[in-house]
Amino acid sequence: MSHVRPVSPGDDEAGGGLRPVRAAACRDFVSSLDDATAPRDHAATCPQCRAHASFRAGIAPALRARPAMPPQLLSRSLLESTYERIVDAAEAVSPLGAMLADRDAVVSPAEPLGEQMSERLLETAIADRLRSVPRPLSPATWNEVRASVVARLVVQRMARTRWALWVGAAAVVATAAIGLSIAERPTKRPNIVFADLSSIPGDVDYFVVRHGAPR
Amino acid sequence: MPSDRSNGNRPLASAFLAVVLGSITLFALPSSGMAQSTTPAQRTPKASTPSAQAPVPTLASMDQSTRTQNYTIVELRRFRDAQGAVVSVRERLEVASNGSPRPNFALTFVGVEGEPAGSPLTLEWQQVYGRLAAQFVLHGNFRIRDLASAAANYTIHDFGPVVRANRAARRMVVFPNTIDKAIWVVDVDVQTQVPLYFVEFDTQVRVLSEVEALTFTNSVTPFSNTTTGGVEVPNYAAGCAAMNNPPETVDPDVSVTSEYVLERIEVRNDPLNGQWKMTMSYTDGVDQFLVVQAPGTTDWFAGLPVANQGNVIGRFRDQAMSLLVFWESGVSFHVAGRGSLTRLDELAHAVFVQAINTH
Repeated sequence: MSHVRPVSPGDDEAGGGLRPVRAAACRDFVSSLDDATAPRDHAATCPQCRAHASFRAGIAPALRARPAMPPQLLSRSLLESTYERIVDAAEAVSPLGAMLADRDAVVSPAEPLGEQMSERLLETAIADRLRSVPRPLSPATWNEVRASVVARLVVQRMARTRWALWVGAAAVVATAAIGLSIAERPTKRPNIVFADLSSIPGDVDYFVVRHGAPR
Repeated sequence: MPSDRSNGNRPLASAFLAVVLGSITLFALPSSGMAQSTTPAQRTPKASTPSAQAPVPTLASMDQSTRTQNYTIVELRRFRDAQGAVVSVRERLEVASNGSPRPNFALTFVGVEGEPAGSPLTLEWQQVYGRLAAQFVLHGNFRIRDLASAAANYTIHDFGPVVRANRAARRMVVFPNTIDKAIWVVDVDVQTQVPLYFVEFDTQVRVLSEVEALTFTNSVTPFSNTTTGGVEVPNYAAGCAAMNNPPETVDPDVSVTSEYVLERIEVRNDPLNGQWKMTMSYTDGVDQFLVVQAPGTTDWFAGLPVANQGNVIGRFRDQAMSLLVFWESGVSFHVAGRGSLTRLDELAHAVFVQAINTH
C-alpha cells in the first residue's frame, strides 16, 4: 500500500514536503479498479499494479462471500456454557455481582432502606465539599464586588431613563403632528344621493351631439 | 383574418368578440348604412376595385393620416333618438392637417335628408349646426385621439376589402379591452387611411351613432375654421386664470377611470350672459368623456324634495349617453360620456366629494 515519506531533493517529484511513494499513474489505476469500463493499459507496463490488480481480483470474491458458521459453534451446549461463563465473571468481579451475592444486604420491600442507604449515597467527594463551610472573603474583595454591582445598577438606571425620555419626546412629536394634520384638514363625509332623471336638465350640448336636436 | 392585437390573449374577451362581431355581421349591417347606399353612383362604382393585397389599416396609420392628410368629405350623419327614430343630416367636412392630432376643420350644414330646403326642420338643424358644428367633430366622430392609449385599450381587426364613396377601403373593427365601452366598425380608405364610414355599437349590438361618407376628395380649398368659440388652455391652472380664478372650481380626481388621460381643456365665455364654462375632456385613445364646470350658477335641486336627502347628483342615462349633474358652492358640474360607461357614476361621486371637501 502507498504510504507517505519525506521527499528528498533528489526525487523526481518537486522537492520539499511530504509526498506519496506511489506514482500518480499508479494511484489513478488503483482507484479505477472498481470501474469495469476504465482502461487497463497501465497494468501492461507496471508489474506492481499488475500484481495488485490480480491479487484484488482473486481475493475479492472471497471477501464478498460470508463464511459459513462451523457446526461446532452452532451446538447448544457450547452456547449455554458461554452464557454461564459470562454470568460467573459478572458475579465475581462487578459491584453488582457482589451485592447480589450478599444476601444479607437484600431487604424486604416492606422495610425501607433507611439511613444506611442514604448515608452510603452521600459518601462522595462532592458531598463533602457541600457540607464544608466556604472560606470567608476579605473586606477589600467584598468592597470591590459591591462597587462593581452598584456601578452596573447605576448604568442600567441611566439607560432606562434616556430611553424613556426618547420615547416620550417621540410621542409628543407624533401627537403634535397628528393634531396639526387633523386641525388643518377637517374631512367631511358628505351624504351623496343619486336622483335618476327622465330628461336632460337644461340645455346640454353633449345630448345634442349624441341624439341630435330635441324632437 | 389578420389582426393587430396589442394586449396579449384574453380568452373571455376573445369569445365575447367573436359573438359580438358575428352578431354585427349577421344582424346589424343590413339595417345600417353598411350594406347599401342611397346614391346611384355607389351602385355602379367607377373607382378601382378593391385589392386583396391592399395594406391593412392600423391604429397608427389612422393616427398618422389625421396629422398629415387634407381632404374634403360630403357625408351623412345619422342621429337616433331614444325611440330609434333616425334623422340623417347631410354635411360637408373639410380638414386641413397641421401636424397635430387635432387638425383644422370646417363642418358645414348642407341639408336634412328627405326635407326640402327652408322647411322648419331644416332651419332648426341649420341653427343647431351653427352652434354645435365643432362639437359634432370633436365629440361625435371616430378618430384616434391618443395613439398610445388607443393601442393599450383597444384591438383592431380586419374584416376585408370594401368599396366606400367609390374608393377602395378596408373594413376594420376597433374593439375595446373593457366591456363598458363602444365597439366601432370603420371603413378606412386604403390610399389615405382616412375613415370614410364609422358606426358605433354598444355591447348589445345597438347602433349608437353613424357617419357615412358619400364623396371624398384628398384636397381642400381654403376655409375658415369651425371652432367652439372657446380658448384652449394647457392645464387646469391656466383655465382658472382665464376665468379670473373662481375659488370654487376643482381639478377633478379621475383616478377611478385610470386608463383615460387628459386630452384637452377649453374655457369659454357665453356672450349672452357672461357665463364662464371650463370643459375638460379625457380620452382612452378612442372613447371620451367630459367634465364641465360652470362657476357662478344656481343650484338646480334647491327647493326640491330630493334635496332634503343630502347632496344630490342628477343622473340621466340611456344607451347612448351618461350625464351626471351636481352643484356645489356656486359651481355646476357636468360629467358626460357614453351610456355604457357606468364608472362615470363613481367619478361624479368622487369629484363631488372633492368639491365639498375643498370648499
